[in-house]
Amino acid sequence: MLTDWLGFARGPLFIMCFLFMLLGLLRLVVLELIGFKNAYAKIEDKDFLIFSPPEQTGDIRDKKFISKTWLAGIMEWLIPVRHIYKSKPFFSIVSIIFHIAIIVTPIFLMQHILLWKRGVGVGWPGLPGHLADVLTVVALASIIILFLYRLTDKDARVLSGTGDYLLLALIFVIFGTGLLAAHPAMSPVNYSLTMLIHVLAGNLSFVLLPLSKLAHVVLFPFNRVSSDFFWRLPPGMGDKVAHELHGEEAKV
Amino acid sequence: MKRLTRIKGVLWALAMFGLVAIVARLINGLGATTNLSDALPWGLWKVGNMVAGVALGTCGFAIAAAVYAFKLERYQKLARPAVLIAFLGYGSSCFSLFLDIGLPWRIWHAIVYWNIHSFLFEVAWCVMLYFSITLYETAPVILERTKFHKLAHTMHRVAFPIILLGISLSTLHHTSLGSLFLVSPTRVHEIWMTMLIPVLFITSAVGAGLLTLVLITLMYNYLYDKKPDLDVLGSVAKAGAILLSIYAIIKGYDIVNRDIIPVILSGQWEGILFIFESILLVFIPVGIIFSGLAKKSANLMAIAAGSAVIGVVLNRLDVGILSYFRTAGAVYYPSLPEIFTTLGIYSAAGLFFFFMVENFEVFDKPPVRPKDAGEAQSPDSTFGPIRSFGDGVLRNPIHRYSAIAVVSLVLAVGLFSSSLLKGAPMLSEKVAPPTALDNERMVLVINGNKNDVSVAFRHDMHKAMLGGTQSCIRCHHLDMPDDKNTACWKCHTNMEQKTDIFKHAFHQEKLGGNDSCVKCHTDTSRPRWRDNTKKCYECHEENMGMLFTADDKSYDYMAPSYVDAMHKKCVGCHIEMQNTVDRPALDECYTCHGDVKLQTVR
Repeated sequence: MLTDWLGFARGPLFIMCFLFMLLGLLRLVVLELIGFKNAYAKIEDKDFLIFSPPEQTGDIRDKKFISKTWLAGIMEWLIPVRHIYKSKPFFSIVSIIFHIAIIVTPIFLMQHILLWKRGVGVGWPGLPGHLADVLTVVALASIIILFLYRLTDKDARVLSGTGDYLLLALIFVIFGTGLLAAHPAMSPVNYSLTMLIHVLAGNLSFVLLPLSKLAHVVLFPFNRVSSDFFWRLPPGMGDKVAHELHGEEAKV
Repeated sequence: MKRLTRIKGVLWALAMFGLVAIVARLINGLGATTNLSDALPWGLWKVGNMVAGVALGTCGFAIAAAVYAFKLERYQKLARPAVLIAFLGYGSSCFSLFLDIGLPWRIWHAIVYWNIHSFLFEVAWCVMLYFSITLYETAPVILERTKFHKLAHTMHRVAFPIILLGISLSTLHHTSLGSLFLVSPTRVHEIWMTMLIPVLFITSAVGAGLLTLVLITLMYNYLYDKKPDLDVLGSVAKAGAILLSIYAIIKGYDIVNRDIIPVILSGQWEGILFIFESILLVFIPVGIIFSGLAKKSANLMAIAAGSAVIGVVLNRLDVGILSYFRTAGAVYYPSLPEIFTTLGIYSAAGLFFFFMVENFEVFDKPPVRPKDAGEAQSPDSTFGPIRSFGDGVLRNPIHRYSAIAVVSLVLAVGLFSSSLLKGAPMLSEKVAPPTALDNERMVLVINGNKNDVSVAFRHDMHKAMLGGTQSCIRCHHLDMPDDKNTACWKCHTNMEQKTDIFKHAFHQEKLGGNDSCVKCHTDTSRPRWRDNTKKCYECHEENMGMLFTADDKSYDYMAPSYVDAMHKKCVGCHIEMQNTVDRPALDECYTCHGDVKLQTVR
């Protein structure tokens, strides 16, 4: 019974969820590119006041200029050494470690690679088992720290919604059951049940990837360009923005 | 606008289901995805899409003849929609035919390898040429809105001879589509089988084709909130009704002439179906249109036209599929991939139609659609909240339809996953144990699936010849725990498929739950995988040790199918023994299957 459910969860259900993730993320990228194109058309429209004149900030209509700044922004945030915040360096570092652990572990886990090899015939080098265990424990520890940080830190708490806590909990479940499935002797529950929870939680995360803020796995380049590049306001622009937003009577 | 949005949403979903079904058909072939058989090889795609699709597309050449050949200027306004419908009807037909032939990549063979004795050869050429002509006639509609508008004018100027060619080609191939059925006079049911099929096909096709144009024009006006020109449409509908009446007269003459009224009224389901078909195709449309009610009410005209459209499709399905059932002694019903392919192709044609009328001048000059207040034409908020499928976000068309497409693609893959991902659905029959012919069980009748192919296996004779009780292990190569000389069917439980004889969950529980993994998965340095795990015989030596050889990979986990296991064991030994015992035919099929007179098929 349990094994039948497990067969379904890692057979047809996995295929559907994984495909949903791929297509859903592709859709988001395409839509974002369309939106980008439309915004670019508006830049060429000179009435679009929010943007600073070219002589002050470099020519915003210059395509070379855009791609250069954009790429630099992406690279800077992909390797965020410069952005370890001075106010909360500990949590910044934990967050970076968390990202590395949850990206590297599932992709380079030998057990997963063997499944890919059996299913589609494509394999790649994997991590040694002990290193994968260490990374999993690191991921679990960093999830706990980030969870507590969201609860305790005043600023982080204001910015956190229910979804943020639930997503962290979901990732915790995936990595926790993954660790128990790799070491059944440590597990308090039946192996098949551990595996079923692991697979179902993993499938849920695939479905949530294009639907939740997890979509930043593909959308982060666009997020970068919006803040670093589009919002470069020249002096005195605040009044104009307020005017655009609230009309004549605005007081800044 | 809401109904238009909903219709487009449904069409997108169906088109995506169709896309997955088409991919499944191209990867796995006809056998795995359709219910077609040698007895009934004409299915939904050939008849429902191809034969019926071109019938619905006849309005193209009929209106072209009226406007360009007979100079009836008042139908000028309908020329573009008619040509577009013809283009879509023929385009979807060609595509369905591409899917329907066994080797789709040889669709071009009819161009190079001529078989001038085949009706299909004539049909292929006419459909191909006429499709090219509809393409030629539709192209200016698109080109005039691009920078190639001069080319559009040039094409328009030299169009007249091409339109004439199109008219004659259509007439030709509609009759030859009917002629296709003349080659199987004994197989088509007698209600539909007549030498007049070619004439019946073209009259009903043109009649219903004109009413298709009427129906689609009315639907366009309804969906885009425009007022239909009931006067012109009424005249077109009347022309269609006249053609359907001619069809009815010829069919009536045929019925009386061949004296098949008793057959129709005999209570056979074919007779009832024919009456139903005739009501839809002839009586409802002709009745409504000739009574003059249609010109007063768009709804009644739509009912008349819709009835004729359903009627002509039903007629083609009757002639091409249902009329074969009785003589073939079999029934065909389309599989899910077939149904979704048909619906998907028609849906894609519908979406293309909407795209054309909204962006090019087909009925009216675009934009034909007043912009909805809540509907942004393009995503304005570049970095807006498109991360969710939330309500407000999906008001934008691109966002909405792409979301529908993604969800339906995934659901379709789930629905078709058995055929899409595993290839042909394999036969799976449970094996029944052999039955003894005598009290001593000396002769066993081996017939795992209880069909008419069996083997009377002389167990006593084999035992004696191979060395008495010492010879058991030559065939009974495994003992199940607490059993000796286990019978074949206890492990080879399936006629056609391999079966798992290792019960993982059972062993896990028996050996002590989660702590037991290391008892078999002794290699902890690598992931627990089959090739670094203890073999069965390492624990079950008393059951499996007897025939085990060092290089043997078998007797682990998977038992071959019953058929494979028996053939391999018996035939393998027979080949070895035929020289020893000097019986050269020992490895022939009929040695065991005495009643089956087969030559060596291996």
